[in-house]
Amino acid sequence: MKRNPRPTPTILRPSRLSVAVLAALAAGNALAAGQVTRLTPPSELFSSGQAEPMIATFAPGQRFDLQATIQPSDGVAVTAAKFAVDGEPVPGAVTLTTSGLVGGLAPASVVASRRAYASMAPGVHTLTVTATQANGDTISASGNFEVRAITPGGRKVKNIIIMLGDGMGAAHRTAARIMLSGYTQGKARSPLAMDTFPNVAMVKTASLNSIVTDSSPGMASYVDGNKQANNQEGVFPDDTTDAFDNPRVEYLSEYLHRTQGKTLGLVTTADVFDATPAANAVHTANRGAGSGIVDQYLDEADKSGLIVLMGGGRKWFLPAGTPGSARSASSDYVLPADLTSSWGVPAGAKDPARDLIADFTAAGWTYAADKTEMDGAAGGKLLGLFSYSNMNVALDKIAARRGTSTVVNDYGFPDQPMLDEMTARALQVLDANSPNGFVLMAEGASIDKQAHNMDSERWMLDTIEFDRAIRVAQDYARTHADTLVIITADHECSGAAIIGASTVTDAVLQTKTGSGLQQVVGQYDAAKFPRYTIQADGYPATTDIDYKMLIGYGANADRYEDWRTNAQPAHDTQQPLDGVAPLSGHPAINTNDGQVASLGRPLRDQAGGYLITGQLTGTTAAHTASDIPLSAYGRGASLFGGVIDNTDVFFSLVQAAVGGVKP
Amino acid sequence: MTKRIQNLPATLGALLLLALPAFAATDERPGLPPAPPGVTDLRFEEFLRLPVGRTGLEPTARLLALVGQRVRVLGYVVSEEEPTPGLFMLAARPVTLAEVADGPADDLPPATLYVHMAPADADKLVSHQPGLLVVSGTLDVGNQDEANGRVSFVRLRLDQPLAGAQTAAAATKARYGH
Repeated sequence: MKRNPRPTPTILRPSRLSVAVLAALAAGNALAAGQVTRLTPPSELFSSGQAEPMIATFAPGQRFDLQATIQPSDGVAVTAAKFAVDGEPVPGAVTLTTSGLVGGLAPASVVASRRAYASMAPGVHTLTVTATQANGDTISASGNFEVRAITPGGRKVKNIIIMLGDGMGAAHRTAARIMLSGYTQGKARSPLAMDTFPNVAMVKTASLNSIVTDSSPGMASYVDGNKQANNQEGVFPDDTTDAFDNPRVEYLSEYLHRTQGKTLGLVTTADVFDATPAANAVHTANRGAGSGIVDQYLDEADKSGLIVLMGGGRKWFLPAGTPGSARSASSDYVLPADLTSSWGVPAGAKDPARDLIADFTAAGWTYAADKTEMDGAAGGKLLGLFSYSNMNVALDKIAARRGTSTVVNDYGFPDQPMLDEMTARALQVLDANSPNGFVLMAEGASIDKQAHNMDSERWMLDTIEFDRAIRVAQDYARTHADTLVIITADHECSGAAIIGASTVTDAVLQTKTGSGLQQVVGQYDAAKFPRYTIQADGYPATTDIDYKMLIGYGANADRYEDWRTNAQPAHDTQQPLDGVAPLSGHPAINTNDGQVASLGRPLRDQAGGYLITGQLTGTTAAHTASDIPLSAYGRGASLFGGVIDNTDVFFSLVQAAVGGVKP
Repeated sequence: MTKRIQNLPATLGALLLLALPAFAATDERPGLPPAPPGVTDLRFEEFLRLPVGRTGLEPTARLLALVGQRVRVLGYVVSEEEPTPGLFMLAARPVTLAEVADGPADDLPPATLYVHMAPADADKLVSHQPGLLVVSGTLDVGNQDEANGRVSFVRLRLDQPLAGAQTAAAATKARYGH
């Protein structure tokens, strides 16, 4: 459980010293110099003195907070701070925060904030902060940021649909195509829906503080045009302990709702508080702060334009004390006054007893607890909470619909929609209630989660489910000309690779153990063309075909592998049936009252004895730094191409919606 | 100081029925010895009314009737990346959490048992134990903030310390052989 997000390291950089301080030092006086140790928005100019690359980039009029951490000379308080852009003072109040700061700062350090700044002037701008100490000395530092111009005069995109395959790299897409379509003589028999999008780019996904991102900055960069630190969404790092007071960056949804009246829809197969949906509408430095995140969805819906929110995560919406509630004061927030007044948002409250479902319905939302209710929901705003946390994955949902698995029922939520069904319903609601257009983000969330588990069949079927949702979005765009659809991923997960195919039938595969399981991997010519049979519901009849596709992992932890589909969505496929006695010869069960006793079942796939040693500690695979493919369809698709940064996507979306695209 | 332990006694290789017979007031589970006197068998499917309703979870009358009683539960230890001293979770199905990547956006079933170790083991970590485990202790029901950052609803308090502790390195070697 992510209890302590890794703090963003403070970049220490001596600031320019005032003449008085320099003179004191020259005279040999032991006067410690004050420093600006953080200047927000972040810039390479501030951190290293180099003007490039440009780190912070904004659309004209896009709001963001200016902030600086000032560590004063020993014993000399900071009494005021001012910001200037291109030498011109920035009007408006600057708040000095002296409490709730992170440890390790000098005594009397302050965080100076000027909230909700915006510039309409395209170009590179110099940002300067000047702090005044009680003795009259000043401390200053400079950085830069860029406002990127919008080219006017084109036909504007009215609707933006972002299809986000979490963790979906090139290999995930390819594997889904092999499974769903099949190949013959080197050609795919049919394309995935995502294969038909005509414009393609490769996207660089690094975060503000690492080459390997997570879903928070991985999503946020697409929709706010800036880098964020891992675990953080819609904010820059700061030096306070509060996770919700960080300097904000306005999201695409907020920007377009404020300037054009567009609405926002968020659809996911994950818990709705999870990073990808949240990083479209919620501002926090702690992606795990569930109570506050879901509260902010509602409390700032008039800023984001949110009218559709569907996925799992009901546990955050139940009052604390209700069976199943995960709400707590520790994951909630109260915003500082300067933030609330400048951004025009409510302060919130640490209110774990809040009945958030009731508050949503009181605000005019229709609540749907399952697919049946989703299908029949009326009204202009739709809240769907279909599971306790993450929804069950496609393989298990389809097996439940086919009557071949009890996994979904065992979780207690038997009537869960598929992602394509959720996407279709979201489009209906958005289309009917968005005269000025909408932004929809629909996430295939468990491509990533099952890739973490190195459960190949489950992420492949989740990718197929995601492709079916893409087709729904594409069909909408075909009949609504001013719609742009992009398919992308926040990052690649697990280093998945299609290493070949089994050289034996499934029956023979089940008899293999140890090195025999390694020897069945058919490489090169021996891989041939695995052929899966697809049922009318659009999914494979079975994923354990003869000569099946085999997946390896480059960012893996240790695992046992038998190449066969796991009957359960995690470890351990050994599933004895009713009436089957315990195997003779095994040790007797040993129990003692009040003690834990092992009944000694093997790890997932351990029975085959084929251990694949991973590069990583732990039990799950990890994200990688690989570039990921982006595909675009519809009006504005031509804006995407080449090798781009994930932040560049935001500016293409803004260009499409604000400046338009020439025919 | 925490000490990683291996659940014990080590009886690797035992196989047990997972798909148990339908609920009965007196539960006979093939392969599982009868519960000791004063201990009642409790199954995961008896925790909550299923399917889950429109809002929260509803405990069954059976679950509520056993609060404060000694019960025995059979399940799988939830695999965590960052286990918490003195606490582990048990579920009806094997669950792997990637909490470093995903935090509390997880695949835990609503019916998850939070097992609190005896006071003598409060500083010990429970290595992920593959396969089924049986645990016995005193049942507690009601929302409670846990040290692992989650909120539990059903808890079991073990009332005896665990013997035969292993170091983390030994547990890993026993698991993977290297």
